[in-house]
Amino acid sequence: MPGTGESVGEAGPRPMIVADDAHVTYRVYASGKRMSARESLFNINALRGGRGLQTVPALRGVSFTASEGETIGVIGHNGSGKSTLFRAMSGLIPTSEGKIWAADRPVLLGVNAALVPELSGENNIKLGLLAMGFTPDEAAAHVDEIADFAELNEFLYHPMRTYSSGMGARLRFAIASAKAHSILLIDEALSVGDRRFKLKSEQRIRSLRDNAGLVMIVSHSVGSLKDTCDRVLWIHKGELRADGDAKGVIDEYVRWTKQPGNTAVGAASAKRPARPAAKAKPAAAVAAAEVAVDQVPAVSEPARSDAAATPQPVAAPAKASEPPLSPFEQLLIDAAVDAKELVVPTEGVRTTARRDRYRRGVRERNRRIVLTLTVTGIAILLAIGAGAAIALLSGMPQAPDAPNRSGASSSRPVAPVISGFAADTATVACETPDAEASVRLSWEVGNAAEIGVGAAATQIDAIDQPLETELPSSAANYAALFPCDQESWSYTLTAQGSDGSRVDSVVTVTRALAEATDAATDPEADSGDTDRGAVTPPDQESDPVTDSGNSDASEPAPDPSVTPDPIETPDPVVTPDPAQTTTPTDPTDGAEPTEPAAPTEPTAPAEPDATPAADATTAP
Amino acid sequence: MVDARLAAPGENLFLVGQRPPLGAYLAEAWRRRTFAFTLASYRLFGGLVRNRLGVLWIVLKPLLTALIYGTIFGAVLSSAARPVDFVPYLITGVFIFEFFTGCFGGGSRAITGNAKLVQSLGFPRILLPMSVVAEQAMRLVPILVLLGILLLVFGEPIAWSWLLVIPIMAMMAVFNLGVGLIVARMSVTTRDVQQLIPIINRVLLYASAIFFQVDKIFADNPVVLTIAHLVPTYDFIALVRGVMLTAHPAPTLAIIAAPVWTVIAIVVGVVYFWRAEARYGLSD
Repeated sequence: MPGTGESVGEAGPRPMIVADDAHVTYRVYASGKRMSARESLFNINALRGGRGLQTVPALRGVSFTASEGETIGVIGHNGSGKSTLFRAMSGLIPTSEGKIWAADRPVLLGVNAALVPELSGENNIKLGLLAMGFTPDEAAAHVDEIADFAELNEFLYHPMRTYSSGMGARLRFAIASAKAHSILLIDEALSVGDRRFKLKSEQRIRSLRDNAGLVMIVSHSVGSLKDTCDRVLWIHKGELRADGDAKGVIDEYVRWTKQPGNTAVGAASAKRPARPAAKAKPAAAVAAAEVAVDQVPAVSEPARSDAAATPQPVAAPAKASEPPLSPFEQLLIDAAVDAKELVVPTEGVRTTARRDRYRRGVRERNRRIVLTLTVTGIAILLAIGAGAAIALLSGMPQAPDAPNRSGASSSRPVAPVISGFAADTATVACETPDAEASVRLSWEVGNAAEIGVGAAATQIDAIDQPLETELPSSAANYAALFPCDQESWSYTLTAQGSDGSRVDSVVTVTRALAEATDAATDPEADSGDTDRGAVTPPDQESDPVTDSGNSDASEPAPDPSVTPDPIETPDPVVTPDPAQTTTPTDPTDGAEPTEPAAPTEPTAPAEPDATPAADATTAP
Repeated sequence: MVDARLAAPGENLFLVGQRPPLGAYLAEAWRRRTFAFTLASYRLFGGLVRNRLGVLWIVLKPLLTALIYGTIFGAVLSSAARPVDFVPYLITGVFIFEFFTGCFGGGSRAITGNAKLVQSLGFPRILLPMSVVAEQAMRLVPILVLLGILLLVFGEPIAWSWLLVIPIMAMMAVFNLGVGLIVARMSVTTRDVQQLIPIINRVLLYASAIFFQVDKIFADNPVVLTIAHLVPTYDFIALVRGVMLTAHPAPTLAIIAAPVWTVIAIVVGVVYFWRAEARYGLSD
């Protein structure tokens, strides 16, 4: 009964595969898909550890040597690790501990070996051959041969997802056996096909074995294993339980499956206790458990191991080293010990070692998982933060940019600001009341959609009654007429913003009649004239009446620093500015601006012909 | 056990389940490259023939995407950073960016989506991300033809420089492969990466100047502009625009950055992917 470890083949043939204490551990998410072959182990972990990443020790120290010319069968119940062993041998999954050597790359053909379900059988054949290392030409040459062997007929051109499991298995077997491999691992591939195909494939395996080195077969059909194999490995819960002559091991296996009764086989693979001892008859287990209940909760750690040892003294040394167990597990062990069925002295040692290893592994891996998840979470948060930062950055500069770009034409409305409005002189010298003089105005306006200049005896709205409108937002030397029949004359600058609001600013200029000064100081009048000429450039800052504080509250004081030199700080937006500022410097230009203005404004008070009338109306 | 230890160093035995040296690994992958290309073409057409419109979807999908972006960012949310030749600018960006997103998303599923294939056949796993990139490259061909036709329709003059798109796209394919390799391995160990990929795609979509001109937006912020010019997807898009659109020459930084990114991505990707070669069978 006890597993014989490894009974290596005769010394003569060279070894093809050597497994040395091979361990394989799966890590599976609770929501993962790998349910099929390892349901039992998976469930153990799902119940114990709850959600999240589970580690599943699928192989726990398997060692054997397989030599050339052998055909080895592998048996064991579902989920015992047979397929995992094969995958590890073919290099598809790595061993977590221990090593596996092979003389050649072993090729696995298995029931799970789905290719690409969306593709037709024919395409899958080509793909499979290419993946196995065929050249495109070789692959093309083999397609028909494989298709014939698989006997899929017209279904060959249907997508593989429409195949029945038997058809799929046939195709896979046909593909994998197309090449003579020196090591062939067959995983339950033959159990799905129909009888005709089974015979055919058995024949093929024999021919492969003859020219190949080693064939290993996983099968549940004990009869066919007896026929084809001369050596059998029995894998049980990830460990090699028996290895030896086919007939002997298979008989043992069959005896084991039969002994505990029909239900026990399922129980052994599905129940939580990771111990074959649990295959004791349920009735016996319950009975024994009832007995054990009395002892277990009361006794301390050493006492319990004594209690466990009592019925089976041989196992005592092993039990002493056992880690603390849950009462339930202890009960089951006690029950099994009491049942005295199939318990061998070495079993206890192996079980404790296994459990110990398992728990250590789980604890360590859980720690690692927590760490991994934390790091992952932080990384995700960082990435999201970075993304948000990028989004912010690309969104941010757009806002301040927009008004600049689309300017005053659209966007949000703005109120105008008059930052300066002044005349070059506070008093104008007139020869006679009938004469006309000229005043030079300068201004600086911001955010204005429209600017107008008006002139009247008092303050007016210069856009409604303009001298001239559509003026630039900044001017330095705008010439306006001064009617000498007026005692004083007010020039109004009105700016309208894009929001429709208007702002006024007024400059009042008074008259200094030449007759008055003429009588007293005649030469001075001339000099006054020349003075005026000298003063004319608006750069002089002395302006006593620059601004009557009518302009907006937002602009507290007439800014003297702005008014003097509008030319130095021209608004870059306003292109016609230079043209405007240069025109007044032209000597002939003194009256010119008014001339185009006059016809446009019939009621303009500055119009020479209209001045007497204006006088008559305004003077009294 | 003792027997096994003694037998192990036998002259003709080698360790199973170990990754081969990098050189041998790449040589083997190269030898089996037809597998990657065959898988790619079968996947491409296998996935499309199930649709009524079949292969037409290769062209229809990016076209519809461009239409949506064009409507949203061209008409609804028009901004000052919009280039004058908006339509050619937009479709070039969208079509080229699709190539990246396809490889990026497909790369993340290259191993996990083919778990059965990986667990049943032994071949260099790098072939799977390679087949993803090959599939996307095959998709790209009709898209580029469509792009050329559309540009002609929108009045771009045809030029010999258009041919430079081919080497640029080859370079981008290599870059995509590198990125695909990285996410392929990452999503095997940490599946969450696959959830993150749409988000990364979205961020890159906005960072790659697809429907606006990054030069206009960040004109007064040279640091941000430089960073924006270093976004790899932007670099490739800018290069393609540079050779196809007369009004948008590629910035010098992009011309330098694109090959540098490519080299970094492929070297890091291959080494990173190769180091886990033996463990992909455990993926699930």
